[in-house]
Amino acid sequence: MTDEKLVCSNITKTYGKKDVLENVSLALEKGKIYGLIGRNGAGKTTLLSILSAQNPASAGTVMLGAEPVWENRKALDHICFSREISALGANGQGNGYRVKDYLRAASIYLPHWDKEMADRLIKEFDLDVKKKVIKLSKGMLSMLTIVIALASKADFTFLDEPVAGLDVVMREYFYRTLLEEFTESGRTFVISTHIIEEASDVLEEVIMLDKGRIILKENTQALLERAVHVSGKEDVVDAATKGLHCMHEERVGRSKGVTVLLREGEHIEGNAELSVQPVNLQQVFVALQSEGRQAEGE
Amino acid sequence: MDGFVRNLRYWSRTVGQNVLLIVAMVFVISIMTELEEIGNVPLAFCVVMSRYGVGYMIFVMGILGLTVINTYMPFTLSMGSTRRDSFAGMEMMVHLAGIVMIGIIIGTGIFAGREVNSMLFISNALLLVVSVTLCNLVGWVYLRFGKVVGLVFYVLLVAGGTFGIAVVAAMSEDGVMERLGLPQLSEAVWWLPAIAIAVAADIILILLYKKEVKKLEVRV
Repeated sequence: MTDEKLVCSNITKTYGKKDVLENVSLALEKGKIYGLIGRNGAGKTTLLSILSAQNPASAGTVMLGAEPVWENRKALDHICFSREISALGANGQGNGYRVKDYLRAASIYLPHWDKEMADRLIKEFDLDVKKKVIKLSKGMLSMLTIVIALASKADFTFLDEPVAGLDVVMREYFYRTLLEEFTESGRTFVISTHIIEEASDVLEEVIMLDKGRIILKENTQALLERAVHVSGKEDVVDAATKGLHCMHEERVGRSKGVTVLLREGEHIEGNAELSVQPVNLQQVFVALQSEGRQAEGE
Repeated sequence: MDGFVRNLRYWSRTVGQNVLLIVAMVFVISIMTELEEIGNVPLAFCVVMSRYGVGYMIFVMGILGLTVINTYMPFTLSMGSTRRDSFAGMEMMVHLAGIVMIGIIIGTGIFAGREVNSMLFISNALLLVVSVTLCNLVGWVYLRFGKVVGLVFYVLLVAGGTFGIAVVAAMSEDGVMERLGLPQLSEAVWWLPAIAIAVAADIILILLYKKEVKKLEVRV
């Protein structure tokens, strides 16, 4: 087990003329569950690929303590990126692998592979190890991703859309198992997901990515404590939120609603004319995205 | 060393399965085509391998070239292997597969009555180098220029190579080379093209790694 941080500095990734990631700098600490949130095409998978040296960055570095991660087995032995498995397979080829082929490869390449845990999860998910990946449903593909990630026992484990296609019972099981594993091992998990609200209970820290840039990285609880929704008559809302960081305005007739991210030292009180309500993580994300789109429009 | 050993474990089954499949295919074809004439299963297999072994070698290595770098290698990277270790393990196993197949060709050739001399081993050593280089070349073209171009390149090489070898073999057998007044080359002269081919093979291997494998990406 390593105590080191995984740090990426000024990561840029360019495909052709398009910057998919732009000057991304990030430090992942030991023993946390991070949520990596962003719209489709924001660069989440690309970032995780670069952090795990599966893809090269166009510029920038990724270090695990003092060790560079790129082409360095010593560092890579502490990292596992269990990426979304496609029926088309890596690089668009038909995926002729079976579930057992993935498990066998994982047992060979992942030095801390826990076979007992993998077998238990396979049984729990009722996965047929002899089945070809091309015949698996989306949910089953997600289950296989989860098995590899959890049984890898890697210090830094990345999961890309792990709950895509899972039914609600299996999603609950995943979050429960993740928390159990986290409590027992103290591993660092980074989970990229679109089902934000459900995952927010397990995410200690959230990283929001938009168009290849990090727009927010903060403790989830602290973020939710400073995010509020203010609504009431337009002039009352405008007066109450003057000078505050406002996002995502909604207007209905003469009423107005706005999501506010309070800075340190700021606060806002509700009254008979002004409603101040807490917001959830999904609402914060949508509001931040809306702010970004508005800024672009200007 | 750990990373390389992991790759040897992984690639040995992957490459081994592919080669075994081809040998099994040859076995079935030999039973179907030669058994009636020869009347003996092991001898039929030997005759087919010694007669068409070169063609099968090129066929197998070309197929490996299409799959190892483009399908299996990204898979190993997605499991946390380095490109250096994956490539080294892959090349080692491809060479080993070639050596096994060469061994089968030589063994079956001897069994089928071929004369045992130094040319038997020199020519098969050359065949090993050429076929492994073919594997790398096909893989490189596939990576660099895409699936369609890679497949066309493979088909042309296999078809062209097999056809060319068949023509030269037929010309030698029928004494055409003598009648055309082409000089009989001594064994010593064969070392020159052999060394040139080996050097070219090494250059292709290094370039393949530096130009393509080092920046290989894993995509969903």
